[in-house]
Amino acid sequence: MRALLLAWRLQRFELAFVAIVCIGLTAAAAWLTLDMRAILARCGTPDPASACGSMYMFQDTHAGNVGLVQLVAGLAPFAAGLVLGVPIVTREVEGRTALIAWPMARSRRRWLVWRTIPVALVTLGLVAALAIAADQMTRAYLPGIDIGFLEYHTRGLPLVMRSAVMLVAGVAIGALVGRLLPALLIGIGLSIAIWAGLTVALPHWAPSMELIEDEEMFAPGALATSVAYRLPDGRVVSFEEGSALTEAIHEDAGEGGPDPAELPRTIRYGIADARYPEVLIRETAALGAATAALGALAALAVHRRRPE
Amino acid sequence: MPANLRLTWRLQRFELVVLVGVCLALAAGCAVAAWQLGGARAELEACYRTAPDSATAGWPCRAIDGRVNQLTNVSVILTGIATAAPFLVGVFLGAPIVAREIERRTSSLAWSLSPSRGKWLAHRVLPVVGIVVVVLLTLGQASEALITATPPGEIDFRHFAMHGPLLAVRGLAVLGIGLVAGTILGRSLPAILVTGFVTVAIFLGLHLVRYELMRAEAVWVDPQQGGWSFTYVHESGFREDDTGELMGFEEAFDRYPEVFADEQGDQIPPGTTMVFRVNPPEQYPGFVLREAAALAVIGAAAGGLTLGVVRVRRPT
Repeated sequence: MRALLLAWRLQRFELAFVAIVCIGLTAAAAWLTLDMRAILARCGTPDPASACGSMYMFQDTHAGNVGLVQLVAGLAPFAAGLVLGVPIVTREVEGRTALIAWPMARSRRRWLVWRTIPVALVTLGLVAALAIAADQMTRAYLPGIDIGFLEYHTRGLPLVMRSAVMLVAGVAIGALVGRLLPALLIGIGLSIAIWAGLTVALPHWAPSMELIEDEEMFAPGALATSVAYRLPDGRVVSFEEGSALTEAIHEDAGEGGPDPAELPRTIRYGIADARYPEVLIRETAALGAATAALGALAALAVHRRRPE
Repeated sequence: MPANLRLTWRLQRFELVVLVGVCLALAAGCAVAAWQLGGARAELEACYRTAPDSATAGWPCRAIDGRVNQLTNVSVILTGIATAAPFLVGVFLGAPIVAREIERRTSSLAWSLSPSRGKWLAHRVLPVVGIVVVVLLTLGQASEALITATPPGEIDFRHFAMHGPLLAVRGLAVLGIGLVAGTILGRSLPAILVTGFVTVAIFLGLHLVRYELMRAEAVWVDPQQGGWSFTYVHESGFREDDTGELMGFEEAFDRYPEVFADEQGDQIPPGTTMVFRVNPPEQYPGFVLREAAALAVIGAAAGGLTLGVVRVRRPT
């Protein structure tokens, strides 16, 4: 409790800012969820909403607001982690209070743990609430669909893990650089790299397989990775080769059009939505390991650096 | 001035190196991509003259076509980053100028040594303003060259605030907002957060106002006549050829149900022309000028407010 109070006194503005943004987003997501579920509840009653008949029933009415909340929710873990993580060490070094705080602490590692844990708990708590609300919002927006990998980066556990990595990365960069603004700029660069890296890595957490037609057409939650073509003789060729061949067959056939049996058939590869938990566990384990490694780096940097 | 520039360099070295370096590297990237794209397009046009468009795998222009497509994708990414650059530059160079002095308690000494606080502020801000203007003007020009080199090669409403001097004006306005926030709050990180928040609110407001103005000033055109940018088709309908009277889709459905029932037909009522309500390309510079003027007012107001606050606030 004392550590939490100290964190509040030292990072009052940043904590309040992050809390307002996260709670505001959580409230917006919860309100949208309740609104969409209320509309859904009217379907099948004598007074149904006009959207009840369509497949994507909230696309015309809620898409803009839902998209905006998802966009900001996807960015929030990175921003929260950096804003709260970077100043933990840099402020002490820049304000020269590390000169007093570090010798007075039993060990610098212990000091770092006591300064980081309360901030981490608050950050993870706020982002977890947002992650749950964003997840429920996405489910409400697409009723009756197994959402699988849809909006993977803007809801659920991935948000919490990203905020954990960025918070510890922020502490580590701050401890290495020792100055707030440079550390923040480096942190922004690192956030972009982590975001891009995780986006590129997502299709590789589980082997990609040919999606059967049903999955491809009626399971929008599957993670599509690539498209290819199967020739009438069963051979599989690349997308570019297949499209060129298809166009050439159309060109040769002239006005009558080609025989459909001669045309290459599109096949899609990806990860079925049923494998979402498996991918989630693997990514979470990788991010957990990265967080631990960055934490060790931060501890080493604090242990070895001069306090000024 | 060289002394002020040297001081700015010493105080904001890292931020200047990173932000100016990124912007100049981006400008260089835009220029190189524009040059490559111009060459590839000329090559493709020459190839088209000898080998007409074909889908066969042996079509000799396929490799050049693929290169043009790749460079077009690069162009989209580079111009997208160029759009975001003024915000980063403005926030990170503007907010800490005064906030850092107050935070580190050097303002007490600096303000008492200077003939006036206004003069001190001018000496600290003007070099940064100069750097921001030069860097963002360079980036804006490079981005413009890339947009004009990218197919279809015309600048229109889709490229709003992605090119030209508007990048520098946006950067200066954000810098001004950052200065006020930093001066009032007196701490760098809170100032950066508040600047980011206020900037998002202001630019969202400007976007909404611009969209409403575009709607209000849109004109009805016949898309068949060509030469129009359809970035924002505000409305569509039919115009009576004889009377010039406009008719919405619902009215057309009621008056000519048989036309719309015929799925094989062109779905255009007889004696009418389908028309779109869009913004003609010649309106584009006017919207750029208006936004620049609005941002200049915001920037000037922010500068004046900063001066006022610096004059009256306690240096700690």
